[in-house]
Amino acid sequence: MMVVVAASFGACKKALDINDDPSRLTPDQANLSGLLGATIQFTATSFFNVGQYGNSYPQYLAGFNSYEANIDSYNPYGFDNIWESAYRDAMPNLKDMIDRAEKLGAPQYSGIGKVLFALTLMQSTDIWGDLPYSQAFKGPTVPSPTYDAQQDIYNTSLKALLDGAIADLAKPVPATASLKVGTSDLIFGGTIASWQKVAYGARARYYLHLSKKDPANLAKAISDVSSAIDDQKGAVDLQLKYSQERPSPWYTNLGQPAITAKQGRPSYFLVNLMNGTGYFSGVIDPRLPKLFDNAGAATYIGRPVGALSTDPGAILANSDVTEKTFYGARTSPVPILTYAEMQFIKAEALIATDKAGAYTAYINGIKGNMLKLGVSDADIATYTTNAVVTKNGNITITDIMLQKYIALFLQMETWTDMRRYQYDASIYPGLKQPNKNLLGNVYVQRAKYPDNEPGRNPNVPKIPNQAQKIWLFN
Amino acid sequence: MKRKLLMLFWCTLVLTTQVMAQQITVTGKVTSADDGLPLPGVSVKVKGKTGGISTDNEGRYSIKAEGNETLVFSFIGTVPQEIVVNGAKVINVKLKQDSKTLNEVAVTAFGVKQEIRSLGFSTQNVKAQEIVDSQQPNIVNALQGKVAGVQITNSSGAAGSSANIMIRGGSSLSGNNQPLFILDGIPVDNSTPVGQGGFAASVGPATNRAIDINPEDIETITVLKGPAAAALYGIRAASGAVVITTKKGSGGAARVTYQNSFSFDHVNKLPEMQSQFKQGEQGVYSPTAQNSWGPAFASGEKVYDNLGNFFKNAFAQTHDVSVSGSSDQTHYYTSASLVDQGSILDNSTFKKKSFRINADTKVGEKLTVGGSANYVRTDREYLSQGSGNGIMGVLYWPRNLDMKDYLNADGSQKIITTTGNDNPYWTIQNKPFTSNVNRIIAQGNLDYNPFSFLNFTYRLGTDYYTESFKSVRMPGTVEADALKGAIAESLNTTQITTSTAILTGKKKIGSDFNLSLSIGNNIEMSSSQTLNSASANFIDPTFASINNTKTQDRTTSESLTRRRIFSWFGDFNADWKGIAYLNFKGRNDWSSTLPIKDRSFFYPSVSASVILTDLLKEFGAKSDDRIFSYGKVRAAFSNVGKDAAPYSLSTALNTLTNGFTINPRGFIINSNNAFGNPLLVPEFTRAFETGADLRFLKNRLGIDITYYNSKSDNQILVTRTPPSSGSFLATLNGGSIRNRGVEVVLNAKPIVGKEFRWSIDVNFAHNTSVVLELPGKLDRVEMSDAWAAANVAQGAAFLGGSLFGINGNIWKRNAQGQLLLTNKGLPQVQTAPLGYLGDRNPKFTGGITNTFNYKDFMFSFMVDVRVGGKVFNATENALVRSGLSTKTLDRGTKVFDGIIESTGAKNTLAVPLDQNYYQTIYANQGYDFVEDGGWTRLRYATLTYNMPTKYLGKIKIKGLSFSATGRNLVLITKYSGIDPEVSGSGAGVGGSGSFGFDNLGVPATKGFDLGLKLTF
Repeated sequence: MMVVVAASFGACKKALDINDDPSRLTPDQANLSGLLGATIQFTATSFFNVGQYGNSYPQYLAGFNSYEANIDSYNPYGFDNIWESAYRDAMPNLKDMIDRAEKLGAPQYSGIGKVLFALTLMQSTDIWGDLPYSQAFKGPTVPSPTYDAQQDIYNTSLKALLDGAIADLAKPVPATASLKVGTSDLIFGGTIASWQKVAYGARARYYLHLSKKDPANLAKAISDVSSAIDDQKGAVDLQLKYSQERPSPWYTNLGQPAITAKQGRPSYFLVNLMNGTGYFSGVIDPRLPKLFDNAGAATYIGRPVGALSTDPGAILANSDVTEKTFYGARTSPVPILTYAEMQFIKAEALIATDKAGAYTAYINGIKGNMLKLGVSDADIATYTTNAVVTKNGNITITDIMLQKYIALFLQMETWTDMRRYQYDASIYPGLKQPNKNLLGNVYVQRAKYPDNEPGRNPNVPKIPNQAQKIWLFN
Repeated sequence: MKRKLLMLFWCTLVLTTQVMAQQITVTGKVTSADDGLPLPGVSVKVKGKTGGISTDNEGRYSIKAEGNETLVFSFIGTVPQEIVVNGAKVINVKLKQDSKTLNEVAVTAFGVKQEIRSLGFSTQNVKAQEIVDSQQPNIVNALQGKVAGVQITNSSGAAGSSANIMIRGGSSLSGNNQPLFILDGIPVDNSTPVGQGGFAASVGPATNRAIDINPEDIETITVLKGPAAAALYGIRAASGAVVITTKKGSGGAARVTYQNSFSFDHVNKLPEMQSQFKQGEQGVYSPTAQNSWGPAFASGEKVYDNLGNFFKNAFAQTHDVSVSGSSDQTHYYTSASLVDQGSILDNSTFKKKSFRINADTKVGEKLTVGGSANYVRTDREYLSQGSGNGIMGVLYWPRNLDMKDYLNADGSQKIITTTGNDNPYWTIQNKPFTSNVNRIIAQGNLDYNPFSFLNFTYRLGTDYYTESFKSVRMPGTVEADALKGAIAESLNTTQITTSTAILTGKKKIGSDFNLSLSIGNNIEMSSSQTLNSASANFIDPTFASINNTKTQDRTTSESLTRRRIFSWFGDFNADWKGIAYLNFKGRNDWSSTLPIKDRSFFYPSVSASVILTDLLKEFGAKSDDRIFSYGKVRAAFSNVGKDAAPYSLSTALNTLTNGFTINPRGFIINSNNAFGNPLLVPEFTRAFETGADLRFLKNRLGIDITYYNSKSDNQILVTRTPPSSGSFLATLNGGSIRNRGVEVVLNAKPIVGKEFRWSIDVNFAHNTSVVLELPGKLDRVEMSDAWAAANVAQGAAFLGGSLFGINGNIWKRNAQGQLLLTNKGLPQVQTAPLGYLGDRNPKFTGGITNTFNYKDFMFSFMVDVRVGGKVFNATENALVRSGLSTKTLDRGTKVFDGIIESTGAKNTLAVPLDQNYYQTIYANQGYDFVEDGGWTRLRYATLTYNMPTKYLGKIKIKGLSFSATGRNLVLITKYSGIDPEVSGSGAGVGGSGSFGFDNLGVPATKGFDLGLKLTF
C-alpha cells in the first residue's frame, strides 16, 4: 500500500507545476512588438497627465469650477497622476522593453525605448528635481528606491539614454522579422529615420536645459537640431494621434460636450498674447479660433489664474477648450516633441551670436505651428510679416520665448523655460503671479512629492515648499 | 474428527438461532452520576458480542439482547458498568466519572478523537447545545464568547452578513488570518469574496461561506488554537483550525426530530443626529441641497425622524427535520433544514436549504466504511452600503423632508439634486444585490484494522460550490456610472478536493509504556474560477438584464486560481501509565505556489503533558480527589510553514483591448496586479505555549491557563509600494509578527443538586499582535480594501506597533503637538504621510456563560465583554459631511489653539465653523472619529423547558421541549454610533482586516426567538 502511494507521489511532483495563471499572459509570452505599442501609449498618457492639472503653472489654463484658485493658486500639488503613469506604467515597461531588445539584438526597439524613457525622465526631473532612477523599477527587490540627485540624472543618466538612443537607432536593422519595428509603432509605423530625428530633437531639448550650467551646450543643441525633426507640417513630430474609438484625453477631460463644469479655462496671460492686448500689441493671432472656442463672441478673453469667480475679470472670460478646438477635439494628438519646438530651441541658442539665423528659426517655428493647426497660408503670411511680430528682423529673446509659449500650448516644456529664466518680467512681460498665491509672493518652482511616496518610501527628500528651486535652475 | 467439528459448528448455529428467537429490545437512558446530565455517545454493547451502539444526544439507547445477557456501558472518562438484562425492557444507567481521567475528548486531526488529557496544547470544545442556544444562522457567530482567544466580529445587521474569526490575533500581514475550517475530516471553504461585480468590498460585502453549514447538524466544534494543534493540517491551519464534527446517528431505533424557531429582530442602536439645522447650503435654505447646511428650523416646523422610521421589524424562521439511528453495524443520520431570514430592511434576506446524509457501516470485523453528502442551496439578497448612495444614505437626508415620500406620480424617483444621493427607499427597491450558491460537500472514508496493533484510514472528500452574483442598478439612479441602468454579474466555481491516508501502529512496551506512530499522506487540490460580465444602459428602462443592453456596452473577464499541496506527515505518541504524554509531529509540504527550489519545506512540533494528580498518586503522595481533583501541566513547541498565494512568483500581465490594439494581444500592462517575486521562501510561525489545567473540589471548580508566544517570520505580503519601485502593489517576503497572550478558562459548578444545578463557564483572553519587522524600509502595511470615509482612514499594520492599527489623515501639527494653522487661522489636514490613529485590537475579550437547571427547566445566558479596541466611526464622518452630525451643531466662530505655520505666531484669528470648515477640513481628518469600541453585552439568554417523560409516554413522543431566546438584549458601550461590532468591508479583508470600521453598514440588531423541538 505505502509503496503504491509513494510511487504515485513521485509522479505527483510534476502535478505541482501549475503556478502560471492560465487567464493572463506571463512575461515570457509578451513580446517587443506588444511592449512597443503599450509603452508609446503610456508615454503619451504621461505627457497628457503632466499637463492635465500642471499646466496652470505655466499659466496655460486657469482653474475653474471646483479647481478655481486651487492648483493655479499653488495649493500644494504633487502631480500624483503623472507619478503613476510615468513611474508605474511608462518607465518600468520601457525599461523592460530596452532590456529585452538589448538581449535579443533589436537595436531599433532599444533606441526607441531609450528616447521615450529619456523624454519621460527629463520631464519628471524638471518637475520634481531629485528622483528615483538607478534603484527604481526593481519591484520587490527594491521596494523603497533611493532618490538620485538631479545633477546625476542630468549629467549621467539622461546623457547615457540619449546617446544610447542615437547610437542604437543608427545600427543596422536585423533580418529577423520579430526584431524589426513594425505596425505596433503607433507613431511612425516603423520608419526608423523619423525616430532618429526625434532622438536628436530630444537631445537638443536636453542640451538647451543645461545651457545655463554650461553655455557650450548651446552649440550642441544647435548641432542636434540640424539632425532633428525637420518637417514643417508636423509629419515627423513625436505625438500620439487619437481616434474616434480611442478619443484624446484632452477631449475626454476638457473638450467633450458632456463636461458641464470644466476644470480650467485659457488664461488671461495667454489669450492676451494672441488677442492684441498683450505683448504682441494690436495683432490678432489667427490661431485664436483654432485653439479656443468663445462661442462666437467678438473678442477672446482669458481668465486670470488663481482667481475666484468673484474676482474682477474672472466673470469676463469667454474662451474655452471645446471639441471644436484643435486640442479639445476627439481625434486630437498629444504632442511630445514638435518641429516648432526645434526651431525655437535653435532661435534661442543662436540669438546671442547669430541674430539672422535666430530670426529665420523664429519665423519657421511660428509657421510650423500655424501649419499644424491648419491656419491658412494667407493668414500665416499676414501674421509672419506683421512688424509687431517680426520686429523687422530685430527680435529679442522675449519674442522667441513668447512665440514658443504660444506654439507649445498645453505642453509643460514651457514651464521649464519660464523657470530657466526665473519668470523674468522682461522675457515674460504681462505674466502675473496668481491672484490668490498660497506661496506668498513668489512663483512656483517645483512640484511637491506625490502623496503616493511619503509613508511608503522613507527616502523621499524633505522639501519645505514648492518655492524651493531645483538644481537645474540654481 | 472433521465430522465432529462440523457437528459442533452445526449445533452452535442451531443454538444461536434459538437464542435469537428469544431476543428482546432493551431501551433506556444513560446519565452522569455526578450531575445527572444525559451522556451522549456512550458505547452500549452486549458482553461477548461484536458491534453495539452508542447513546444519542439525550443519552438514550435501544439495543436487542437476550434475557440473560449482560450489557456493557462504557464511555471515555467514566468507570464502565455491566448490567445483566434479566428480562428488563428498560434499563437506566448512571455512569460515574473515573477520577483518573477527565471525560472530554477532542477531535484533533482527520477525525481522530483524542482525550484532552493527553494533549500538550490548548483546545476547547463547543457542544451542540451551546451552538443551538446561541440561535445564530452563521456558525461562526455561534462561537462568540465560547472560546478563549477566539475573536469573532459579525460585520453588520444584514441577513447573511459575513463574520470574521481570528484565533490568537493574526500571523499574516496581508494574507488570510482566519482559521482553517474542517468538516468531518476534510477542509471546507470559508472564504469571503472581497468585492464582487466591480464593487468595492465596503459597498457590497459578501458573506463567509461557512454560513452554508447547518448548525443543527453539528455534534461538536473543537477549536485548535495554536499552530501545535494544527501542525497535522498543515499550511492552511497556520492560523488555527475549527474542527466541526457532524452528528452520526446513535441510540438504536430510528428517531425523528423536528425543531423550529421563529425570530423577531429590531435595530439595537442608532447614532444621534442634530435636529436644529435644515436643508441648505452655506446657511441658506435650498430645496435642491442634499445636505443640511441651511438655516435653523423655525419653531413648530416638522423635523422628521427619517433614521428612526427607516428600520422595520425583522422576522426569521428555521425548520429542521432529522432522522437518525443505529444498528449493531450501521450508523445513519439524515437531515433537511430550511432557514428563511429577513432583515430590518426590505429586500435584504438570507435563505438556506440544506440536506445531509451521514452513514457508516461495518463490513466484516475489521473494516468500517462511511460517507456523507451535504447539499446546500443559499440565496441572499442584500443592499448597497458604505456610501451616501447606499442604504445609509438616510444619514444624508435633510430632516425637513420626509424620506418616505420618494416617488413621483409617474413612478420615478423624487430626486433632491442630480449631484446628490439616491433615496434609500428607492435604493432598496431598485439596486439589489443577489447571490445564489449551490454547494455539495461529500466524502467517503474507510477504517481498516487488519491486526489489533495496526490501523489504516483513508478519506477522500470534496467541497464544490458555484456562486452566482448579480447586481442591478435601475435607470433613474443618480449614480453617475449607471444613469441609464447598469448590471454586473459574476459566476464563481470553487472546489477543494482532499485525500488523506494514515497508517497507525501501536505497541505496548511492558505494562507501563504505550507507543503509537502514524504516517500519513495528504493531497489537497483547490481551484477557483470567476467569470465576470457587466453592462450598462438598458434599452428598455424597466427590464434589468444583460440581454437588454447593446453589445458594445458589455464587458467580460475571467480569473482563475489553482493550488496544490502534497504532504507527508508523521505523528509519534508515547505515554507512561497514562500519566505522562509525549508527542512529536513532523510534516513536509510541497506547494505549487512556491519557487521549485523552495517548494518543499519541513516543520516539526513537540508537545508534552503530565497529569500531576496521577503522578502524585503513583508515588503515594496523594490518595483522594476531594480537594485537588485533577491537575495537568502541558507545553508545546511548534513550527508551521505557510506558502504564498497562487501566481505570486511572476508579474502576470493584463491585456487591454481598445481602439489602439495593434496585435491580437492588445496592450500589455502589469500595473493593476502585484509585482511578482520569484525569490519567495515560505513563511514560518514558531510558537511556544504552556498551560495548566487544575480542578478542585471533585472537579466542581476548574481553571485552565495558557500562555503563548508566537513569531511569524518571512511574511509573504502583498502591499502598496511607492510607484517609484515600478509597481503599486508588490509581493514582498520579509518582516515578522509577534503574538503573545494569555487565555484563562474557568468552570465552576456552585450548585449540583438533584433538582437544581448551576454552572458557570468563563473565557478570558488577552492578546497583542506586534509587527516586529517589515521588509525593505516599509514602516507600515496598508490594507487598501479597508478604506473608509472617502479615504480618510484605512486598516494598517505599523512597524513596532499593532497589526490592527488605523492609518489615516491627521491634523497637521509641529513636533510639540501644536496645531499648525493657515494664515487665516484654519487647521490643516495632513494627507501624506498618513498617521497612526489607534489600535483596533481589544485589550481583552471575555465571555461568561451561566447555566441553571431546575427540574425540567434550563436557563442559560452569556455575557460578552470586549475591553478596548478602537473603532473608526466613518458613519459619524458621513454625518459631519451631511451636516446632520451633532458635532456640527456649533456653527459659530472659533479661535483655534495653535500657531500660524508661516509665521510661527500664536493664533488669534477667529474662523467661522461653517460648511466649508466641516466638509473640507474637519471631515477630512480621521483623528476625531476614532472611538473606544469596547462593550459589555448580554449576547443571549435562553430558557428551555423539557416536557417530562411521564406526560410524553402516553402520546408516543420521546421528547418535547420549548425554548425562548433573547439575543443582544443589553448592550453597554461608550461608542456613540451603532453597535460597535462592525466590519466595514466584511470578513474577506486579509491581514489587518476591516473589523473596527463602522462604515455606513446595516446596523446590528437585537431580538428574540421562540422554538420547539420534538422527537418521536
